[in-house]
Amino acid sequence: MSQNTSRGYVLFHTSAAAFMAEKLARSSDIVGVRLVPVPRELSSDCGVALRFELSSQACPVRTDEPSDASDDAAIKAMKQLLGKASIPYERIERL
Amino acid sequence: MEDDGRIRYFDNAATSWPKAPGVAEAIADFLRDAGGNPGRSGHRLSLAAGRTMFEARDAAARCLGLSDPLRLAFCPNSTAALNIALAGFLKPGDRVVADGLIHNAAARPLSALARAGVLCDYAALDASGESDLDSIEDLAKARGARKAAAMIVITHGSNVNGALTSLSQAATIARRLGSLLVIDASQTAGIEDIGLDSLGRAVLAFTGHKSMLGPGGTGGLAFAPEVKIEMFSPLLRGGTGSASESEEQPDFMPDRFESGTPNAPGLAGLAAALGWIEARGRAALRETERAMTRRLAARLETIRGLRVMQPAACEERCSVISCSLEGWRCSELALELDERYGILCRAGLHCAPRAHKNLGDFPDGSLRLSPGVFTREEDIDAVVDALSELAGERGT
Repeated sequence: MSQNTSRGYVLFHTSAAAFMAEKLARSSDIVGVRLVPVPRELSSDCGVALRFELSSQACPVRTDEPSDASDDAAIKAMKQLLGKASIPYERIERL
Repeated sequence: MEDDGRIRYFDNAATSWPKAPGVAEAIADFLRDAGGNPGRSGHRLSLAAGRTMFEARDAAARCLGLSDPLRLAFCPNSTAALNIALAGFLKPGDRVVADGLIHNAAARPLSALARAGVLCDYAALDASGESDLDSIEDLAKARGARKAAAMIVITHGSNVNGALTSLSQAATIARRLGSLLVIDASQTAGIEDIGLDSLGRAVLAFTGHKSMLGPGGTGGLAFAPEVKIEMFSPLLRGGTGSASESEEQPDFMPDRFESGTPNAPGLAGLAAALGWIEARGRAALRETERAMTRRLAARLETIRGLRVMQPAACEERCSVISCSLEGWRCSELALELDERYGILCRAGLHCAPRAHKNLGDFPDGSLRLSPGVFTREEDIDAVVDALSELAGERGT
């Protein structure tokens, strides 16, 4: 994975969850939320992924969702958002 | 009394008409502006279709009292949903108990399953023509070497006599016996409060074109939170737009049961219909429909020679009334009502032969009048006047 990351991608098992997440994320503070075809670098799936802008800032929110210490604040916020709404997702990647 | 040229529609139990305001436009808009394949591609038309489909799923889940919309799988109709619930779950040797008002949407899959070794018992009706939950529990419980029924099948609202079965009581029985509760809500979803989240191990089949006021070709199967999805095998397998690297059917919801391109235009119409119901208020619409049904039932009682088949003890009922008129076959009545008065209704067994056997009018069947949320008092009066006139022509 490239170290010059600029965007996060949420990968879902089902597109139904992707549309559910999109609606929720668009009403949040997360920036640049957009559904896009799943990047082939991330998965061979032919569905959609939820793309969003990374913030490169420390996470200001506490989350019970599993997250890496190096997580971008936007990734942590996304994990918190999805966890709170119990929206199942496969994983979040940077690209 | 003559046909004034307008249609008076009393066949809402077969399909609601007219549809909710905005449904036709939503379907047209979808085909014109959002005609992509939902969940298959990432371009704007596909995304628009996917969002529409999610709006329909979300609205249908809210309508059923299901908190997680991903536990709702769309199907073409409630028959397809019931087939998954029954044939996807039951195995040879399992026992299932169904009520005495069962529709062929459930009865025919059960007959086929019985030939494959599933043990099917059917409960009687009580004296008033309602499902007898005591009889269901008695049949379903373990006795001696006999295990408790793996499944109980309930018709929430009868399409023959309008009897409503208490879902909370049925759920209590199913919970006590450890049985899965399968609910056929074909007549009730959209107009009755269901509260699926609170019904324990329950799955519910619904259709979008009756009380949900949406188009045909829409429906689904909703799984209450306590139900283990993996207990149900899909009956249809194929492309889902997900897990594309695998030739195996996905095991996650809702893709497990949603193979093939969905009826997205229909679901656009369903989303519009459910939006209209939410805006108007389901309780208010229900009260309107019940008021019309009460008026119809009361006025029909005044027609000499007309016998109304209704659950006597049922204060709360869905908007279905079956009747017969002395001297007339129900098919003749339906034809006369249509041709002479512009009144549209249905005659026969209504795909529920067991219900008619239990209610005592098999094989003749009944004339079924089913008002809807758009029925007006003058429509009720028109059908009563027409039947009174017809009764006078052949009355004794």
